[in-house]
Amino acid sequence: MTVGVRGPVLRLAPLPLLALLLLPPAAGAEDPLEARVLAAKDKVFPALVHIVNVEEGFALGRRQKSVSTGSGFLVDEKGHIVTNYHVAGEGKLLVVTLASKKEVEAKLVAGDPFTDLAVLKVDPAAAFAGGKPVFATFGDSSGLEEGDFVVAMGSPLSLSRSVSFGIISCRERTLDSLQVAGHETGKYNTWLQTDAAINPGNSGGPLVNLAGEVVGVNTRAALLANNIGFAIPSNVVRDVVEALLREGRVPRSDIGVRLQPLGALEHTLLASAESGALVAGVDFGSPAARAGVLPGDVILSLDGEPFAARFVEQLPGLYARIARLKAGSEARLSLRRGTERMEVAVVPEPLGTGLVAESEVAAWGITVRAITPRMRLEMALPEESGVLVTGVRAGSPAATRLEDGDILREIDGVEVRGLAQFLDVIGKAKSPVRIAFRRGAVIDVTVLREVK
Amino acid sequence: MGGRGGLIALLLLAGTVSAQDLADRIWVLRITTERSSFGAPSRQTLLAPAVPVEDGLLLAVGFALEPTTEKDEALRVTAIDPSGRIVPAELVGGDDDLRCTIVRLVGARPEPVVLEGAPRRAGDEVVLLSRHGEVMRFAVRRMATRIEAAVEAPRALYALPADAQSFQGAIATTPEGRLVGFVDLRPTVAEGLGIMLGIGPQTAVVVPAETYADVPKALPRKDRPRGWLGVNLAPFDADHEAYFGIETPVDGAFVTGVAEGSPADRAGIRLHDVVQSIGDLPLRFERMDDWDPLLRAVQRLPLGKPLPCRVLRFERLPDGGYDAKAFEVALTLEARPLDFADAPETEIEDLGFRVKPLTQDWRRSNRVPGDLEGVVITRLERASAAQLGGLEPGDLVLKVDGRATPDADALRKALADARAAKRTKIVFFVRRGPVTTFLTVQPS
Repeated sequence: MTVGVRGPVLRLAPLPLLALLLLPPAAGAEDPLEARVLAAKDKVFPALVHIVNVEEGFALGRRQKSVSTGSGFLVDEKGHIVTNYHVAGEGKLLVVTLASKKEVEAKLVAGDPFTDLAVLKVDPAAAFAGGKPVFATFGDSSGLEEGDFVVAMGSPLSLSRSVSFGIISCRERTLDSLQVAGHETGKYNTWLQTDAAINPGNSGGPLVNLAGEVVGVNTRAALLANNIGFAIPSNVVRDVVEALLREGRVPRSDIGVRLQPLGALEHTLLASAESGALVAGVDFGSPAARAGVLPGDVILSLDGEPFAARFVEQLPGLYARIARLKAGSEARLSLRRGTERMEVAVVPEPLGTGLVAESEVAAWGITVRAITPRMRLEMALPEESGVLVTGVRAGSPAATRLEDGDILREIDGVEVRGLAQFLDVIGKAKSPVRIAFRRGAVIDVTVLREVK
Repeated sequence: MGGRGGLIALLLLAGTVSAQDLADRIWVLRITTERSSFGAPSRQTLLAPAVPVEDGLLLAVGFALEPTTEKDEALRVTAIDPSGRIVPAELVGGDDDLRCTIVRLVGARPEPVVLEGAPRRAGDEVVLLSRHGEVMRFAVRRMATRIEAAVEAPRALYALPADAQSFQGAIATTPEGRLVGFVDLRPTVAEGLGIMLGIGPQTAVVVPAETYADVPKALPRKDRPRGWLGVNLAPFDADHEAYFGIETPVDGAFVTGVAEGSPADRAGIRLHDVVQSIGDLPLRFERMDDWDPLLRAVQRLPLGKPLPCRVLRFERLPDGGYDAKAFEVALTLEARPLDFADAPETEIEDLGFRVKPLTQDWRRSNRVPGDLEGVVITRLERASAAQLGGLEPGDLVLKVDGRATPDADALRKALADARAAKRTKIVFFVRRGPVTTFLTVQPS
C-alpha cells in the first residue's frame, strides 16, 4: 500500500536570513536540455512574483501582526495572481514584487483553505506598465509521469526569483492532513512530489514543465529531507481558481462520511471481491447519519456511478465527487452492509467551514473565536453554541479566571449564541461582567472586572 | 545554594542526642523493582527509612508504591530492622495523595510509633534520621507554605535549611526523641535541571506525622472503598458570590458538574448548586488549599446510607438577579467507580497487546460519547501483529470482525472465534481521537 509521507511536513513559511556562498559561474554549454529548460523558464519567469504579506494573528490573548513572504504567479491579463492560502489567504496588506522589480500593492480576491490556494489581484496598468501583459498558462497535470522534467520558481528563504530544476518524483502522493487556517488541506487532491529544490518561501510559486506550462503550485516540503517537495496539481488549481474568480469561493457539498480504501481489507468480512469504498466513520448529525449510513458499510455507487477506492490515492477523487454533489438535492448511495445490499438517499449539505474570524476583547485580555459545527465535531463539544477562548493575556482581568480552550456559555445570564451576538452582548455589558464557562467537564462561573 | 545566616542555626553532627532513642527504632526498606520492557530487563533499588506503625506495618514517606499487577514487572521488598537484621516483608500499598507507602512485616511486630507530631516553631531544633543512619540536627527556619511541600498537610509545615534536602523521606524528631514528622520535598518537573542551575528546591519541608495517621488503617485501599459523590466541585469564592450577587459570604462547595446517574444526580443535586454540608461534615471550600482535606473527609463518610445534605440553589429572577433557596436532600454515597489507572489490564498474548476497560474517567477525559462501548488499548508489544496492523495505544476497540467488544471477555471471545474460523485477517473497528477507523491485524 502506498501511504502518505509520514512525519512532519513543513508548510513553506519563509525564513528571513541566509548566508550566501559565492561560487564561480559555470561555463555555458549549448545542450538541448539546457535550451529547453531556458525556454520553459523564459515563458513563466516574467509572470513570477514575490509576495510580502502583513498578516494579523492572535497570540497570547492579543492581536498581533506578523510579516511573511512567499511566491506567486500572474495568470491573466487582468492582474490575477495565484498563490497559497497559507501565504496570503489571511493577509491584511499584500505587497507584490513583479519581474520588473516594481513593487505594487495587491488585494486578496478569494481563498480556499481546503486546497491551500488563494487568488490576489494587482492593478494591470501598474503590473504590465502599458506593455504586453505577461502571465503563465496552466498545463495538464494528469499527463505527468514520474521522471518528467520540471522547473520550480519562487522565493526560497525569501531569495526572490530563484529557479531550481528536477523531475516529478511521484505524480500521485497522498499526505497526512495538515491544518491550514483550521482546515484539513489535501482532502480533495493528491500531490505532485518533486525533487526540484523547494524551500520555505517557495510556497505559492509555479512548478513548470519543459513546455513552459504551470503544472503545479509548490506548497509543501518534507522536513529534514533532501528535495522532497509537494505541489498542488494544476488541474486542481485551475478548477479552484475558476471557482474563486467566478463566485469568490469553491462550492462544496458534504454528506459526512469518512472513507477508507478497501485494498487493505481484502479477504476480510468487510471486503468481498467487488469494489467499493468503506465507510470508516459517519459524522454525528450529518446527512449520511440521517440517511442511516453506518461505519462498516461499503459504498458501491454514487448516483449510479461506481464509487470505489482500493488505494488511499483514490480517496481524494471520491471526496471531490461528494463535494461536487448539489447541496439540498437528493443523491443515491448504493451500499452493501454485510451480505445485504441497499439503496439510500442522502441530501448533501454545503461543506461546513472551520474558517471563522478571531476577535480580541482587549478590555478583558482574551481572544475568542466562534465555534462552528465542524469544530464541535472535531473537538467533541457538547455545546450547541458559545465562543471559544483562544488566548489569554498575562496580567489582564481574565488572566487568573479564564484559560485557552474555555467555552464562554453565558454573559450576564444571556446565552452566547455566536461571535457577533457575543461581541454585541459584551459591548453593552457593564463591569463586573458575569460569565458562565465550560472547561472540559467543568462548567463554572466567574466575574470579570474591566480595568479602565 | 545554602541558606542565609540569621534563622539558620548550627549544623552539627549529633552523636549524643537523645533522639537516639527514636533512631534506634528506625527501619530501612529495600525495595527492588525488576522490569522487563519488551525484552530489556532493568532493575532499580530504593532505600527508604520507615517507622513501625500498628499491626506489624511499616510506614515510609516520599513515594507511593502499589503492588504491581504487571506480568513483566516484579517488586521485592525487604525490611532491615534497627539492628541491621533482614526481615521479610510485603508491600501493602501506597497513597498517591500523601506520597507514602505501607509495608507489612512477615513474622515481626515491632512496637508502633504513634503518628502524632510534636509541634515546632521557627528556631526550634529538629533531628533528622536518614535511611543511612545519619543523624543531623537543624533549626526550623520558618513555617513553610503548602506550596513547598509535596503533600497538602492539614497542619503547619516546617521549613528547614536547604542543607537538609538530602534527607528526603527522613524522620524528624525533637532533640528529646519525640516524633515531629517526615521530610517530603515537592518534586519539580525538571528537578535535576533545577538543582544543576541552582534553582531547585531551596527548602526541605517537614510534614507533621499526624498527616499520615489514617494511612495504616486505610490501606490496603481495596479493602476500604472511598466515598464518591459524582460531582465536580470548585471553591465557592468571592467571584462566585459576586456572580450570584450574594453579600454575606456563604460556606460551601460549588457544583461545576454532575455525573449522570451518580449519587449526587440521584439525590437531586444540580449544576451550580452549593453543597454546604453532608451528614455532620460541613463543606468549607474557599480556596484550592481546602480541597485536599475536604476530599479526604468526603471519602471517609459512610457509604450506602442516606445522609442529609444541605444545598443552596440559585434561581434566576426576571431582573437578572438570583434568589438563593436552601434545602436538604438525602444523599447516599457509593464506592468510587474504578478509575482507569486502577483498572485491570488484560493481555492478548498472541496478537501482542493489552487492554483495559473503558472506565468513566477515561470516557470523560477522552470525550467518548455515552453510547459507545469498548476496551482501550494500553500497550503494544514491539513488532507484534497488533502493532503491525496499525493499532496504537489509546485506541478504543469497538468491534472485532463485526462483533461488539464491550469488555475484555467479549474481545477474547471474538478473537477466539476468528481464530477458530481460521481468518488470515481480523478487522478491528477502533475509535482514535474523534474519528473511527478499520484496521486489519494478521495473526502470525
